[in-house]
Amino acid sequence: MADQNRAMERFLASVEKQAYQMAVIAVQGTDEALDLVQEAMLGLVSHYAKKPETEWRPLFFRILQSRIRDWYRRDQVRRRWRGWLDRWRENDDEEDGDPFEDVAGPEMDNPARLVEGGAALTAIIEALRKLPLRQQQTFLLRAWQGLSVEETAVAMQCGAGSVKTHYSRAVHSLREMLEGHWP
Amino acid sequence: MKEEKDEQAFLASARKTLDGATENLEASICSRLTRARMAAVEQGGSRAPRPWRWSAVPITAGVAIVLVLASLWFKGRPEGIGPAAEVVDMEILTAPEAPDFYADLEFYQWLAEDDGHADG
Repeated sequence: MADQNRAMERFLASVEKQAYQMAVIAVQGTDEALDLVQEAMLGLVSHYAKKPETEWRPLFFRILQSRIRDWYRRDQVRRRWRGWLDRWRENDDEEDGDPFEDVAGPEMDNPARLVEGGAALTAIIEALRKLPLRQQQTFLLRAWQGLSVEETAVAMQCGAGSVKTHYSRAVHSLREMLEGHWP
Repeated sequence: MKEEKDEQAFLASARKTLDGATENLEASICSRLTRARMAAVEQGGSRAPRPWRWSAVPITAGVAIVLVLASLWFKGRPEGIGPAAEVVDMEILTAPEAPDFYADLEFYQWLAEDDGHADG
């Protein structure tokens, strides 16, 4: 049991920073990204610790992807409500003015602030954020994490054919967007 | 061929840039990640697997209670008591006669029958 815990800790330590970067690129917020990574860690330890270590990597990223998608769904609902409330407030505040207008909102994380790096990093993060979520995450899993097509399919919960399509489109779009910054 | 080489160069640059960003993560974020990892491992280690039968106990107990109550309800009811009897109860409750009349109903019925025989 202690050996398994040590192995799990080593594994999590080896993926946590990349997982955080993937989450922060997807959800664009430090706290949200940290929460998603923590949930993925707990999910792996709770449900898959007894699986062979070789399976942990795709399973961990599968949980992370699942959490990211859940976050997107919740965000869609939040946005709809926010839009409705904003319209309602606009009507309500036409006479009084909005007392919160000058109050700073939550800090919007930008790529340059989130991660140390130069123009190349800012450019690729901005380009990745312009991609559809599935293309973005497929690219990160395949090109950065080095997962095979099959492992990426497990992580993304889709077929190998879809992985190839998403990846190919992602590479094509990124190269187009980063023309001038990149080879 | 050149296209493939360009793509490989592009991917290598992307990996290098993203790796660089990971290495230079803020200390506060690294510290929070470490805490999250420790918490996950600790929680996983202390969590004993929950036997399925324990999760099934409340459901089984609930179903058993419902079945026992239902059987008591139907068995405990005297024969002849059903929806029709409930209508009679309502009639008694709303009737103008005093409740004592209904308590002695059998006597009055016997009296009426006896009077009939006497008349005959």
